[in-house]
Amino acid sequence: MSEMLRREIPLGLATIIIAILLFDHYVFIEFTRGISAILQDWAVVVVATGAGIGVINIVMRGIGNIQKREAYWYLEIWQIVIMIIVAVTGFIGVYGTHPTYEWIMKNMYLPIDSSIYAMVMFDITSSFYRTFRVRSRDAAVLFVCAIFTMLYNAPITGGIAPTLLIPGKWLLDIPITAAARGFKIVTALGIVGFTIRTMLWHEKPTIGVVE
Amino acid sequence: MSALLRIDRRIVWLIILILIFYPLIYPLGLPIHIEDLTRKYYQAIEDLQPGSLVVTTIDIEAGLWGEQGPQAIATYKHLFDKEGVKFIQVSFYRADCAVLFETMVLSEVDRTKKEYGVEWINMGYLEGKETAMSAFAANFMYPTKDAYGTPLEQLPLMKEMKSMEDVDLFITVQGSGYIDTCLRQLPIPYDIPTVGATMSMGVPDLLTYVEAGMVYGILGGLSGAAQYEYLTGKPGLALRGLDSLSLVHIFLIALVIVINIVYISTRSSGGRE
Repeated sequence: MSEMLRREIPLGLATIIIAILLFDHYVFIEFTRGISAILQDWAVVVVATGAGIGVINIVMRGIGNIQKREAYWYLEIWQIVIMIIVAVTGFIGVYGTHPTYEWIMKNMYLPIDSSIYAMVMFDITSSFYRTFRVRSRDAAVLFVCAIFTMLYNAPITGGIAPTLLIPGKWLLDIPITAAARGFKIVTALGIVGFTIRTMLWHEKPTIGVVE
Repeated sequence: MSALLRIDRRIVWLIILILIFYPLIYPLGLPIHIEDLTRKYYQAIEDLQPGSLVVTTIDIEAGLWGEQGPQAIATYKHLFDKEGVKFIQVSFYRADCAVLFETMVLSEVDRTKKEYGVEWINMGYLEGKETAMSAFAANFMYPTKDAYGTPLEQLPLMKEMKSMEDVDLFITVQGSGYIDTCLRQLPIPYDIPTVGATMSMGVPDLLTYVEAGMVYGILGGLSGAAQYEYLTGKPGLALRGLDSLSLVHIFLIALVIVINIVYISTRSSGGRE
């Protein structure tokens, strides 16, 4: 019985749910549409619960690090305190409209998160001029493509020399878009294959069945 | 000259920082070029007739605010200016996207131009990612309440907008990682005309949908936002930052060309790299 609970029932449930959702996508029947809607609502509940479990996990891990005095344990205290402040101010009144919450988001969260992304600039620029050296024929092709792409992306190019936009636009419209399209098709085929394998019980770890 | 090959990266960074900050303080007014896809993005919103129903997803995380924030602000200013156009805003990517929309986008628009609940609704953030998108697309009443806790049945606009089938235009402002998910769940199954704004590096992703006739206009990064601000006649953050963008691009192009000229001449004369 425990074997069936651990293996057959989860896999069987997954197969039935996938089949209902797939059938509902292609065939309109009121009955299956209703069931599909209920299943999707429950899926949203499960995902949302995962977010809450994540918060509990962070707090428990932080408390463990503080107790054991791990490296930078005092930052765990700071993390938990900030998390509580943001959560409490977010819950006060209508969600996300408390002045303290808005102040934290506008003056702390936004600048800090933006700064982390902006710091990438230093790495990228130094990598750019060191990497794009014409060491071989392939490197030369890459170099030329990079120059034309950058010319296309530079706003001033269109204003002073529109002719220079043509090679960059061709690169973007033809080879880059073709590669992106190929990537999307491959990804979609992979998802379809993965779904079929899950329905046929060939992808067990996804459902939590470990053998 | 070969010393250029070993240039200290801090000198490059300092020059870039100067090129970024100088035009922000003393704008240069460098010329810009309006791309076709940006014009189509603008035209798709401009051509909306009174009574048109629109769904927008502004899903910008804080880190992308510098590049995509102006896109969202300019789009919403345009929508609020369109008399009679009604819209629903919803976020699916992360909770902070809805908060940023509330604190950074809505604070820049004149909300008195439209009556809340009658002409526009903010659904806030819906947890569940792709599942939530699918559920929302089929039934707009699925969240039961808006971002401010008001039951949806009390909002008059919900009598007109019940699902994606009622929508005339779908607008999405997203980072590149989530745009495929958003498009395949929301507008494409219902054959809704779509325009999208994304980061510069996300434009190839959206171009595949343009080729397929599913997306009509694109705003690409800060440059796209600046072009859009120019078309709407409301200069903002993007146009201010465009001079910096242009100067940095030209500097990096010139630097890498010069370094390669020095590298090739050093190599051909038998020198060390």
